[in-house]
Amino acid sequence: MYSFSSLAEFAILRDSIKRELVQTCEEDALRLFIAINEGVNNAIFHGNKEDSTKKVQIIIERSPEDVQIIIRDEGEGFVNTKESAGMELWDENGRGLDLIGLYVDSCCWNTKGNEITLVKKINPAYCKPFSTCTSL
Amino acid sequence: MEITTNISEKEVIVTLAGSMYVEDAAVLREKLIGFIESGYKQFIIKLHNVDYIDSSGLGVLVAIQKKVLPKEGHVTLTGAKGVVKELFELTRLNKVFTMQA
Repeated sequence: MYSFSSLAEFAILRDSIKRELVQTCEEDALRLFIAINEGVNNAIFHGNKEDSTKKVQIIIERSPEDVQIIIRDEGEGFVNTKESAGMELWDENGRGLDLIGLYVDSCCWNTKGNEITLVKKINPAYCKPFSTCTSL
Repeated sequence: MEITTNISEKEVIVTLAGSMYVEDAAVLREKLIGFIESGYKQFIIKLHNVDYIDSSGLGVLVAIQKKVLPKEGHVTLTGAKGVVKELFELTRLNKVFTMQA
């Protein structure tokens, strides 16, 4: 589990997270990292509103079928009002959730809206067998 | 991320290297807006050595394009490859910029 309170603290952890993802599933590591990075940016800026007294946590878990990533903040919660994944081409903001959706198989929020769970199904041909996974 | 800028005639050539995260995007935005305020409107942004750009970086590039287009300026992106090229394609931002190899 990773826990941090600011963008600066997250920046220090990025390489460790990348390494864990490579160990967990090299084939999908970069795309999973993209989804995590976007989720964390949302958690820091929109969830915790850059309040350094609040934490963001990342939990990466591997099962035989998938990689599950939980990103949790201590904010008031997020309500996803987007009905479709249609990105507004000329918008300067608002692509983060769309990128998450493009790079994982599913994403859902808890009831409060301060915790997002990302799930990426894995291709056994490219990933280490579950029994040798070091991320658990 | 390394951000290097050079002026060639009336063009601003921006060479980026590394990964562009939200903190880098803020720096890039400030630099490029400074050039626009100085009267520059043609930008060539070299992405050959960029291995990742997040949504905030994409947003900065869109913002710069939106600022220069009404001035008959343009942002051209060169050298996008791998996941960076894929990000522009998936977000359809390859329709917003001129993209060159």
